[in-house]
Amino acid sequence: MENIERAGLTPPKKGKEILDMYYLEARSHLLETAAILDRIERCDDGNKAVKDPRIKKLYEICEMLTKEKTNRAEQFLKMLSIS
Amino acid sequence: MKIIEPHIHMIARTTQDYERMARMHTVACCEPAFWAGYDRTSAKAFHDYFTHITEFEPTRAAQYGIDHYCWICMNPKEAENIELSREVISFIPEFLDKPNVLGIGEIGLNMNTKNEMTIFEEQVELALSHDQLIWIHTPHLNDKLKGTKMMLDYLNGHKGIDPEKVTFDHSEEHTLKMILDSGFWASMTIYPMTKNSASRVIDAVEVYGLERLLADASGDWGPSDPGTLHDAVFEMKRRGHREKDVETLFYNNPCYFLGQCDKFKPEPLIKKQEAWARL
Repeated sequence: MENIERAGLTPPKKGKEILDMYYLEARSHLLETAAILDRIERCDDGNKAVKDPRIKKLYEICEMLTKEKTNRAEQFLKMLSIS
Repeated sequence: MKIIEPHIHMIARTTQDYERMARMHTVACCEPAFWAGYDRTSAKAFHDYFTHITEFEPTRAAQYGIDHYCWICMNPKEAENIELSREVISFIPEFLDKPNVLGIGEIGLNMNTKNEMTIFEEQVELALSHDQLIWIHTPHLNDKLKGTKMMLDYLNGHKGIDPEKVTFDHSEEHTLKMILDSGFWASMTIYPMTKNSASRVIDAVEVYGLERLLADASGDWGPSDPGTLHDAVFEMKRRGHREKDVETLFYNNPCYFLGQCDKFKPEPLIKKQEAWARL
């Protein structure tokens, strides 16, 4: 966290506490995304639909999540923004 | 359209929830015996609990035109205490003839321990010796896959088991196929974070069809809501599924499974073969 230029409030809780608070929420959101991809693919034209550029972009975002160390949400939205 | 809630712990809910459920066309609900959120201090506390769900809850539900049914057992979490469990199991038979008791449940595993498995097996025998339906709780989160396999292995190897009379609850994508392939019923619980979403329940119907599938909200004292069952009704309609199929998942299927107990009053609207026929 030392690389983040911090102008706001210091989080009162430890990282482990935040992880415990939000882990199931993160798990649930990711699981829902997996289920949505299955749902699309299950349709008659599913194979074609999952090649939609919007899905490709979501995959790129997934990759970004594993690499970026800070400001993931900001990067997420920037990657979806019209330049 | 009429709805049946196959799994809800009304002891932990307010009377206002009965009213909400009635407004959402729920005509019957079923309450499996479960952990109260704390370990009970004696077998007598279980006796009081069983009395509550066989006498008080049916009366409370009836005020809103809802039939209340229940299941009796030693729950998986407190089953870790073998001595207490056996004391509780000794007086379960006196409740099995009550007019709203459908069978033995929700038995199963919590942390997949040897003690839990021992009490699970003993309660399966209790169900068989009294010709009862069985409602099974599968473990939470990371323990679910292993625990489901443990119970399936045991039941598949048991010659006295009729899979048609057993439901595995809290099923998800990684356990549904193995349950259905073995001939058992599978129910899917809609919980905001830790089990299924309404959308994923309807996904399962799209993958497996309507045969031997149930959905429940499993409302209890934790983060849960009886209304999530109705969210799934809406989700299924929103995707364009036929009214008849929606009705089968949320009304006919509970009638087919629970109606194997003569005490269950609601009647299915169509025959099983017609309801489960693929287009």
